[in-house]
Amino acid sequence: MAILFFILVVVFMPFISAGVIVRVKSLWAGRRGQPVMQPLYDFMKYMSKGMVVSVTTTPVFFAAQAVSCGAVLAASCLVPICSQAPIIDIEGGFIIFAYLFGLSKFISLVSAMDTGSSFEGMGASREASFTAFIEPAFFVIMATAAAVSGKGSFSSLAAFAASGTPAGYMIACLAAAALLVMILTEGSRVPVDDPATHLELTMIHEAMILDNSGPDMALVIYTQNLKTVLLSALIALLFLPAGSSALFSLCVLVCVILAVAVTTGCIESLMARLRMTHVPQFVFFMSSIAAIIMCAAFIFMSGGAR
Amino acid sequence: MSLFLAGAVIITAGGLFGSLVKEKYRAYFVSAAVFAGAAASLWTAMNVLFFQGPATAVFCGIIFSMDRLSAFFTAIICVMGFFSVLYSAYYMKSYFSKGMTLKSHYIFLTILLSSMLLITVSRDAVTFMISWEIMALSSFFLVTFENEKKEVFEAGIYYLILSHISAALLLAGFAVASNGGMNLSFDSLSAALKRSPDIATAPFALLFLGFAVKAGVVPAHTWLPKAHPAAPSHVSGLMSGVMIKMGIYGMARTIMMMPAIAPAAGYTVLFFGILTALTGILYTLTQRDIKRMLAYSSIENIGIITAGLGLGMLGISYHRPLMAMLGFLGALMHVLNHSVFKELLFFGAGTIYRRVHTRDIEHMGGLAKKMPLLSICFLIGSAAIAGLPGLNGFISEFILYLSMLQAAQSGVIILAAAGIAAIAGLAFTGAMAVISFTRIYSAAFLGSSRSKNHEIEKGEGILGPVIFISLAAVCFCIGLLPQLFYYAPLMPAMDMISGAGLAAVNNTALVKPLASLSALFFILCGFVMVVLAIKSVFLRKRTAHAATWGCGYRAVTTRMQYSAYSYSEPFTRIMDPFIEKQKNEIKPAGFFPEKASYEPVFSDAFEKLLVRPVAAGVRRFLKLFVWIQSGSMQRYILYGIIFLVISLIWAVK
Repeated sequence: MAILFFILVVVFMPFISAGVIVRVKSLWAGRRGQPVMQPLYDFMKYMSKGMVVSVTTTPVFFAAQAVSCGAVLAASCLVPICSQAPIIDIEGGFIIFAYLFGLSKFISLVSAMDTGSSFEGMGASREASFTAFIEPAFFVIMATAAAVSGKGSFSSLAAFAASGTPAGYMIACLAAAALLVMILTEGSRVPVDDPATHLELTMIHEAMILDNSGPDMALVIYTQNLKTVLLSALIALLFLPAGSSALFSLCVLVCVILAVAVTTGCIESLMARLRMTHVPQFVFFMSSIAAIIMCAAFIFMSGGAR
Repeated sequence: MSLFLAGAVIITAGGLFGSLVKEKYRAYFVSAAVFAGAAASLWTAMNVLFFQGPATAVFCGIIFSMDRLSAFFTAIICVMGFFSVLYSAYYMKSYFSKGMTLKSHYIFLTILLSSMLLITVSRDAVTFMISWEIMALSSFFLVTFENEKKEVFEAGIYYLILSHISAALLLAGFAVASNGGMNLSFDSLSAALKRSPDIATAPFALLFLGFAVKAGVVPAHTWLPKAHPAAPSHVSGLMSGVMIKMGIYGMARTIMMMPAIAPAAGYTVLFFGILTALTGILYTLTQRDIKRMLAYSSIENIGIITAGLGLGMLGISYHRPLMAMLGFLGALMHVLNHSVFKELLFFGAGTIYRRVHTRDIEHMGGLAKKMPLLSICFLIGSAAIAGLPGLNGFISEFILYLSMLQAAQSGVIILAAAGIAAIAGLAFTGAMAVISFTRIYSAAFLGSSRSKNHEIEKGEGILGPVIFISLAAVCFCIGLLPQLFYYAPLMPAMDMISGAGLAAVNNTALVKPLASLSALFFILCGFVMVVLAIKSVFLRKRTAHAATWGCGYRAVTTRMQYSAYSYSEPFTRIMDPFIEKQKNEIKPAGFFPEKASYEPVFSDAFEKLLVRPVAAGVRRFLKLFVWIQSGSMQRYILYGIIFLVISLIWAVK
């Protein structure tokens, strides 16, 4: 049962989440907008197209998006979706999760550089620089959760709220905020990046994939949205009580993913993209929250907040 | 054990008799000898490591003994040393075709190998220091192979001085540890320290400092980025992959000799380890010489290994066997892994240098089309060193993370904070490594060539590809099947914690995560295959080829590509406070500017702010005594007379 839910979430939620974001943006703009499932139709359309491949590229370019997609799919096996145990339960699973994201990033950067295009180089350079600050902050949050719960896996995220104290809930909310920053950065969303921009000079992620077309493009978009969904699932874990049934966790998970999508849509409609030089400051925001979470958890553990 | 000593003798003899062989066949002759000698030594090492346990032999009255820690390092020296000598057959070809003789080069190369083998089995300070000195000197002669070049010679001298600072610290450390006793064997030193643990701090600090200089721990790392680019590539690979690990071996041996380890020592080692890792990888982002960049990356990896030793020490002082074992295991495993992918990358850099005649990555580009096989192997090496899952680099870093998690969960607030800080440091190192190795790989191999007059020499031969493929395959094997390969470093790690009096850890607790890790990586490979298959099925070969999209601009030239510098510029700008940068720039002036240029010059902050001032101070102090060396014979005879008179007075009194 849980495995069926897992497949449903991994296959369909990325499209639904992307569709909801676009729908919310349309509503803010005063339009009705496209159907929620439109990203799925787009995916099928891209898949059925041919590809134009630059003559500068090497076989790395051909394999890159498949590797990137495979890495994020493998990462999804480490996230407990719809139950307390993920498909592969390893102590320190969050480390592998982050490094699989790293593999996806590594190969995307290499594939962008493979085209020899200055725009794609620029996009790759920016993506590499800005996301480098995400990983340490994410690890600090996860390690703090591990310190509190005594377990080094994703299910330890529930430990903050499980304490039932106001301090625990506050830490959980802070962690959710930090993860939201991570979602916006990893998912290349406003205010870090503007997926709807038309000028290559202002793009980050879009600039990296200028030469991808057809099935590759479909994979890029799917991978990107799957990343968002997986990180949203972590937010759901923060508030999910231990021992909930699979169906209940599925409902909570879907609600949180939709809520994150709506929030992202609202942020995209109401904010402009930050100036390139200010993006690192926004990303550092996550590091400072992580530091606060660590200090708060230590005070909490030593009994200071009770 | 006598087989081991015979192996060391065969290796040295191979170099000596190699000078009798024709220039053309010398490399192959020496390789064959090293293969035979290394196989003999490796046989002993494997026996000690997995089956019979410690072995001892007496040779000319000197006791040589091999425990499992020595055996582990011996195995690495044997295998990686053989690869290095084998690769030299390709790399050195162009030197003897120019008419240079390589007799002395191969003699020193084999002496370096056998001296490292002797270091691992020396059991007293005198033998150890003699082997250590032979290692330092033979590697000095290897570094200064092209000593007619000024920068090579200077790098060699710099390396020689730092080697001797290291040796001096070690001598002082052993002297203090002996505490006036005459027996300098490690066992009796250790026993003496156990009797009076309160004097253990000074020898511990001195020995650790000496080994840290050799290993290249910040701030004593400055010799690596000078010596590695100067040396021939197979020597750089050997020095970076194996020789600096002798410093790590020394640290591990020191830990085993110490009666007790204070938490402060563990925290210091952990701090310097993480600092070294961060500094090393940050500086890789500013380098344009491919071998200098790889040297800084070695510093990073030494930092990771040192941090692992620090975690192990903390585990010992807080009596946490699992944390200690994971720390030592991760450190030793990283020693193994780093020796594999670093030799791969240095040999790759060597082949690039041979064929393109430059080490400057800003002048490369598009090499993947010319050397497809090397490009794939180099990509695997880069991904492995960046610690990406599925390859060996990840396994050791993962084990270190587990050790840090143990620290974080210890419940001791200061240890937990240190653990979490170390996790953040290692994570940031990993993130920077991704930038750094995508940068170097893309700049060298991808895109189009950045300089027009590139003559790419033909002919890689068969040797280079064979070595690259085998090293890359090792990266994959350890990465995909860690549950098989972790036994080798596990044995010495077990010895290290049981030597410290900690309870043995049941290693089934570790096999299970490694087995599921391996399963996950096979799932990863499966997913990639499936996605590739789906893509190919949908694509049905409907692929058109065209030029790279230029955003509407049609007159794109290859010089418009992102360079390595511009790739890392946004990141180095954010990290500006930690990077020493000067600009050589000519700004465009006037309405019709004719000339404009911009060149960033990066320097090592530790070199500029620490090493140079200290060296200048020492030089100023020594200048006070310059008058002694006047050059006039009369004065020197006068010194002799004064000395005689003083000793006469002394004797009479």
